[in-house]
Amino acid sequence: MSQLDIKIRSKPHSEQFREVIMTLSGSLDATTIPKFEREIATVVSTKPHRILLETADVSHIHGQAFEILNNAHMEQRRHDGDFLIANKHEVVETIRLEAGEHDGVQIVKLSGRLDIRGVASVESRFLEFFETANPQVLVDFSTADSLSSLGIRMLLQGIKNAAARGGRTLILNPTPPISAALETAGMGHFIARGTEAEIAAGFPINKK
Amino acid sequence: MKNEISIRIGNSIPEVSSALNESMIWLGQFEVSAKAQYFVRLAIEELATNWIKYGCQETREHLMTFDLRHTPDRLILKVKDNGAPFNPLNAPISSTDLPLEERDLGGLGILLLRKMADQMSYEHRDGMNILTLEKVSQ
Repeated sequence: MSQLDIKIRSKPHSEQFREVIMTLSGSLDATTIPKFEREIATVVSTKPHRILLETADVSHIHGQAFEILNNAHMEQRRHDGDFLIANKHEVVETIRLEAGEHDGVQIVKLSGRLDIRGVASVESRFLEFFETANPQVLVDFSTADSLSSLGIRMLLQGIKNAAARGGRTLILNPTPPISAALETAGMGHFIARGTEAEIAAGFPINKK
Repeated sequence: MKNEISIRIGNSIPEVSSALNESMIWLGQFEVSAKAQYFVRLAIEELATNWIKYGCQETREHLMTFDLRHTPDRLILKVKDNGAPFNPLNAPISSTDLPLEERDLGGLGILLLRKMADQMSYEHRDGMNILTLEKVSQ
């Protein structure tokens, strides 16, 4: 069970300047984000001159949290307040990998950002799906929102591994920017459009 | 709203992540397309990782600066670093047409930027690489 602890301290530097320090520890994920959103909204509503968010002990940040941070940032700006994030070098922005199976096809869903941090956190687990005998893998990209060259290389490695074992790979429903990146990398023919069930049922015939 | 931001990083991977986060928080205040947001993330990550890997071979201190500017119709990203001279506009790129097993995707990040940028220019001045990228924001 994921947990997030939020400690809030108010530092009245002077009557003219009030700072609120929010210290987070744990995981900022789908389970804990509602709590974080409530707490930060409460802090923002008091219109402090500065909000300092300390995130050194946060192990995981889901993409949705960035939207909340953006909103808090903008809300602060509306009354000329500051919004700072401390220790952000330590923040690990991860990607979620969920696995399933349909008609003998492995479905690997990647949500979030497949960038330098995302690749580091899922690569070994991701590549395992392509190392079985005759691997049939459908990589669901419908909720992935960023893909860098490192992520493309990871995908290509999986596709090569599957091909070497007589298997096949398709990439399901990538967003337009990610499709464009895959096309540029010469991997457009691995893209499939449809529902997981439809594509898995026709696998690997029902490709683009 | 602040239409410009300058983000400076040293040659370490955690600083790249930090720059990505900072740029996305800044970008969140504007209405820009998903393509433009993706482009900014891609540019920061590809240029910074490339620079850390290939541009920082000497022992002196290395810095890379990303100056981001939002205009009514464009995002302009000026990237400056004091690493080895490197012009991404004429860097060699491995073929994406080779059979799967022969592909290594060398230079892919640079290729993606070349294809996705609406404008890209490079100069080497006063010991600095200066790369300017532009992307239509809608």
